[in-house]
Amino acid sequence: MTETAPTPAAVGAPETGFAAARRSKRSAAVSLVLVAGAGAAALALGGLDPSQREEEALVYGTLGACIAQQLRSAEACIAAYKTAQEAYAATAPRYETEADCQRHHGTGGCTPGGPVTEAARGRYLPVMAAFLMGRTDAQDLPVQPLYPHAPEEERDAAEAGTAGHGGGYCTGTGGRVAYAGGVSRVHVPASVARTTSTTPRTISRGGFGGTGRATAFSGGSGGRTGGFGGG
Amino acid sequence: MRRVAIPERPDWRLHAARAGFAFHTFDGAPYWDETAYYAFSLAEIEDAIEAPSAALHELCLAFVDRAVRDEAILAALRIPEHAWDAIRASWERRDPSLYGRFDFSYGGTGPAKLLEYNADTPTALYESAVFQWLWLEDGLARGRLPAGADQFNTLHEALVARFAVVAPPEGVAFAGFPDAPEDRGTLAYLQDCALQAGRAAPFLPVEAIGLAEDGRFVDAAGAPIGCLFKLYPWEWMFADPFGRAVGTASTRFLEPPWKAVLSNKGMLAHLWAMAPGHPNLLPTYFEEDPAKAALGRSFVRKPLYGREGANVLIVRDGAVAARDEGPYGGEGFVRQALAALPDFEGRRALVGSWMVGDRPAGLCLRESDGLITTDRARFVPHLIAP
Repeated sequence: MTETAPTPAAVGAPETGFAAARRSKRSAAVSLVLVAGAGAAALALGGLDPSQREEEALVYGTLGACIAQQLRSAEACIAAYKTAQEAYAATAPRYETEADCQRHHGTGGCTPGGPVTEAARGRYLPVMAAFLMGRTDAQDLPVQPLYPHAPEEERDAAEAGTAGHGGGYCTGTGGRVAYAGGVSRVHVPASVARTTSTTPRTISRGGFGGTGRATAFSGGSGGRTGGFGGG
Repeated sequence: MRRVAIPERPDWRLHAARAGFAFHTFDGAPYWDETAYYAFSLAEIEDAIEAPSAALHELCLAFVDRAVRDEAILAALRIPEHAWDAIRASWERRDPSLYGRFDFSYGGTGPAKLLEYNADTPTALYESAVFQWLWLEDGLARGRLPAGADQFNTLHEALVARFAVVAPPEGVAFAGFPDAPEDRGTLAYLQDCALQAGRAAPFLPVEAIGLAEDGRFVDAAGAPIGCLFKLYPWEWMFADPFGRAVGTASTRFLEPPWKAVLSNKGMLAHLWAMAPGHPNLLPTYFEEDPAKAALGRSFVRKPLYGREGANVLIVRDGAVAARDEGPYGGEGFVRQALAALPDFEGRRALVGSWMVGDRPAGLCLRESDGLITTDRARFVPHLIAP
């Protein structure tokens, strides 16, 4: 999951000649890395953090795939799989409704909680799509269950052809694990690989925005913005 | 301060497209209008706008310090009680602010008069910081504008520098409505500035913000949000179901909750009470205050919460001179002395004075045909005459 820091494109250069000699009350240069050219749609893809350290890790959809690849011993694979399954039942995110769950994990990415663990009866969980383990024991990476990562707004962007961001997985704390399929070796930001959840999280959504929608769309001014946040 | 008519560049829309300025026209009517510009003297900029902006901002901070310790003030501002702790805590931590915009009535003579402080969710930022700047540079390069002309506009540099100070290393999530093009444009520009300051800057639809049961706000993928920029006003945040969680969440906000005290028009009545006779303030009273009679038969009535001129009523000599309808006013009104916007050949100009952090950082001018500046106003560039 390596991303390259953008190079600012100068959309305007400072006036040349005597510019340096006089006192100016304006910016010397204005550069844009996102807004110009590609347009705002590209911004939905998320941010960049060039300084982030990464860990090499392994992602397997099944225990068999782990054993067959022989990058880790069969014993290590079995232990990791068992740990992931236990963590799944104990810590998988819980959602109030199936629709809520599918908004984040996609259709087919969710399951009723009751059959997984009694504590999740009446809730919905993402399916455990894979598990994450270290490339070596020396890394001391915690084993984690992984869930389908398909938040609604990114799916929309993908359908609109603006996203190059192919789904992948997320951890129980919401960290992203980019996974192209077929390649088990992945690079994961250390902050994602080393952060595990110890309790299941119930996340409620839609608690911001309602007042704005109600106010903006009832507004009589009918102007450019539809009366949204601006002032 | 003069209004100078000038032919627009025939290819300005091409320039706009290249610079990512997508919301320059609305419903066939221009929003960006370069058929004229406003020319200021350096003294007008520095003495009449820049210095008063810095002084008023300081007065505003003094008012916040007073308001967070006086529940009568918070109640008078109609800020819901469940928000008081969040506002107080954010001020006691000195949570930093990013930006704001004073709106002045100023026409080149006499002191600029403060109409309001858009301290929470000001827009018109990109066009002020970038496209207005490009307009000047292009006009100078083509010899269309007076050689040696300058502009009061350090916004871009100031914003990038400010993000480097106020944004945590892990970055800032930028929340707004994805289907409001102008807001989206403002957010995209702020994301750009944050990226240039070396911070991650993902967009997050405001309705996708989640609240985990441990009290943390989370993004669409469920990851905790350390710092959230929201182009969504505090009074709406507080009225929403998640509003009660703001005070206990570890998420920090731009603008911080204490800005709710300043973006409220009731603040104007308190400023006047703190500094009566201040040359840049207009006498202002709460609608319930009998002292409002001092304003006589000419005044402006404004809703405590309200934006873009909505629900503003102007009374001159006892008769309604202008009014704009809208959804605001349920929380009450203030009454402000009338300082009619200056008339330039039938157009009314409003001077917006940008603050980044605690420093004045630039200017924007918006023109209306009527006395009230609404969201149909046109953005007209400015320069400082050589």
